[in-house]
Amino acid sequence: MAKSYVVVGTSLAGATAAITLRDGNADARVTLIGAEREPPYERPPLSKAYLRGEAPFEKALVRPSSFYADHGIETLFGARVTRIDPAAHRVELVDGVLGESVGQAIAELHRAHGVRAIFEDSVAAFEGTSRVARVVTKAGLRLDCDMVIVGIGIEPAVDMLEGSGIHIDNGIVVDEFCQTNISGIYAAGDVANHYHPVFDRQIRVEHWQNALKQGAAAARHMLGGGVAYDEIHWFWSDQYDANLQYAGFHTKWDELVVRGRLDSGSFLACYVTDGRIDAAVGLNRAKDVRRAMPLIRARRPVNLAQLRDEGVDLRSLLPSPDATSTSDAGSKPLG
Amino acid sequence: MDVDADEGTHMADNFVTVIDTNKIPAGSLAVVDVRGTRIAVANVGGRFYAFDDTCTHEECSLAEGDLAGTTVTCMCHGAEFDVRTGEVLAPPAPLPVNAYRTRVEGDSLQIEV
Repeated sequence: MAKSYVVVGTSLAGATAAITLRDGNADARVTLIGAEREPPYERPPLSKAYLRGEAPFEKALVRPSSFYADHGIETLFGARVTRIDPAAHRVELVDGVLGESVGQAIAELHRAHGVRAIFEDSVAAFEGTSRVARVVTKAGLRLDCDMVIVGIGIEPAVDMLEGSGIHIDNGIVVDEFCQTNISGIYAAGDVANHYHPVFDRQIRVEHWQNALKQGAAAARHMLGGGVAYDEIHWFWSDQYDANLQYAGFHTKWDELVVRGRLDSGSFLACYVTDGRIDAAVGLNRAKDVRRAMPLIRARRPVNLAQLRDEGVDLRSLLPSPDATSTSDAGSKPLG
Repeated sequence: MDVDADEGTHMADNFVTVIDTNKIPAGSLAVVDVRGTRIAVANVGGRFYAFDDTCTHEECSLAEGDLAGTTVTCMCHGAEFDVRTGEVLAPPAPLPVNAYRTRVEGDSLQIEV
């Protein structure tokens, strides 16, 4: 099997490493990943010829932008690595939760409404006297404003549990019954990193539906009648006149199967791995998102041609419950 | 004639014909306009139910939703209502929708308003 190399960092060092790997092993899979959207470029010109406006940016590139594809070097530019798992030889990325094509479709929705997105820059300062009047970025942009909204995310409030013996890891770790490692202590909602039986992994979800359903699930187990909490996670966002919905859970996918067109303002994009749908995101496709939920829950391969076909009702793709037993000649299902 | 829906109607009733029953196959929903009010109609196994079409959450059309048994799910945000009573079965809808009595005369579905 051919070797596989991943280089994180589209710096001069990262680029030369990838190029040297390709030169030294023509068969290897070489992947170059970096947070910046541009191909690797040299830094010296930034303070010299390029800064003075005497040379275009292209002159600063380590190699012409077509070089990497021409030499079989896979590139992921604009993708930020969040974690490297040395034991598993895996790299996890933050960018690409929805994927570039879906991300662009949603970015276009904002662009069409006059919203300008600025990437690869960050806030240096807020300016104003009695109230904010301006945002200054690290790159030197000065943006006049009346109001600033800061998305700060959340941090699970787990301080009170310090020393309790309750397992904390990205929130309060609970099982599928919302119970911690200490019997009788439960957690639900944003704070709970829960075991999800459908996806067979721990998940922590910061959404309305999870707060609503998981709190009830924890209570039912406390009352002695609980069943495993296996809600298909779902959220919506109403942006302008568009309704955006996501259902399921995914971090990676083999194939993005789209119903409708990504540039049409109405589509369903399904994140498919091993033929099964892990998650779906819909723009003005609420009905399709809801109908995809049972498919996500089923964890069985679906017919991707039918999934793509807008004439097919997604409810018809659900494998029949007795599909496995009827194919088993030896056991006829009762009833 | 739908026996349940017709129960208790008298001579001077307020039933109005709204749609041909053949236009609403079993398991499906339709929307009708009755004196300026949008009313959704559900066919549950040949029995017809009528209720306000406008979800009490964000005013989406319930007839645009999915019908499963006697439950209609609003497509916008997942609220669920009992089509028989208009009662909320799942949030985020804060309030029930009005339900209307129905009856079938020939091929005509009538709603009491």
